[in-house]
Amino acid sequence: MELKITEKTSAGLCEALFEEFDLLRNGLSDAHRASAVSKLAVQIINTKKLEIEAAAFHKAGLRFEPLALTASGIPIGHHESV
Amino acid sequence: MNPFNFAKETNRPHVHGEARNKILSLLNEIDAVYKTHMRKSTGKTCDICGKGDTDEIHKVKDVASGYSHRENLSPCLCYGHWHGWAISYIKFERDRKAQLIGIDRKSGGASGKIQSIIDIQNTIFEEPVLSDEEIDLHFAQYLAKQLKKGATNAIKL
Repeated sequence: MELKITEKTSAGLCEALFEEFDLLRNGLSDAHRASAVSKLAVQIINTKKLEIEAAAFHKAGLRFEPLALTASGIPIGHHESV
Repeated sequence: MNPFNFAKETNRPHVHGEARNKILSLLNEIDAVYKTHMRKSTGKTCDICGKGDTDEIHKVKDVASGYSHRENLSPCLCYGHWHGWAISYIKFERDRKAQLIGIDRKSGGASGKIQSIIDIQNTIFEEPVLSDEEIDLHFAQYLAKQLKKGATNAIKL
């Protein structure tokens, strides 16, 4: 079987998803595989969207390094100020 | 009065009858040519569901929203998927415009939301607010949702 390499761009991701649609329609894939592919795609998309958002903040002057490198990290789930 | 109205008129048939019949037959001929042409398949199918485009209204769209400047990359979508993508794209674009002009679309209730849409419509953006990369990524998200939907329906069957 020929090894398929996805072009690692957003357009490449669309291509890979279209390919999965074709495989599913032609009976070469199954619903569980398609579901797994879609979930994986959503993870990649969310990561890319976060990167784009971070880049926009970075462009606007916000620096993430001090936050990211803090040993305690960013507290999650605490609304009250300490 | 245009030929359509003239052909439908029923007064003084002894004067206008012959001309009306001729116009009506020509109009019927035009209608038949139009319908034959509009139902002709372009040979394209929806990239998502694989359905054809012989229906007069639901023609496969050649240029989808967000891809008008990239015809070669434009996906082919049936009416249903084109409509779904168009709504998703418009919302995404509107959110970005709201962000750029500093409007909080989630506050202010229904009237506030309408006002925010009006404000966005009235604002002129000199450059496109979304990059090609963002449009592709958003389209990939739409595709992933459609794939998940299709897979879930297939699992249920």
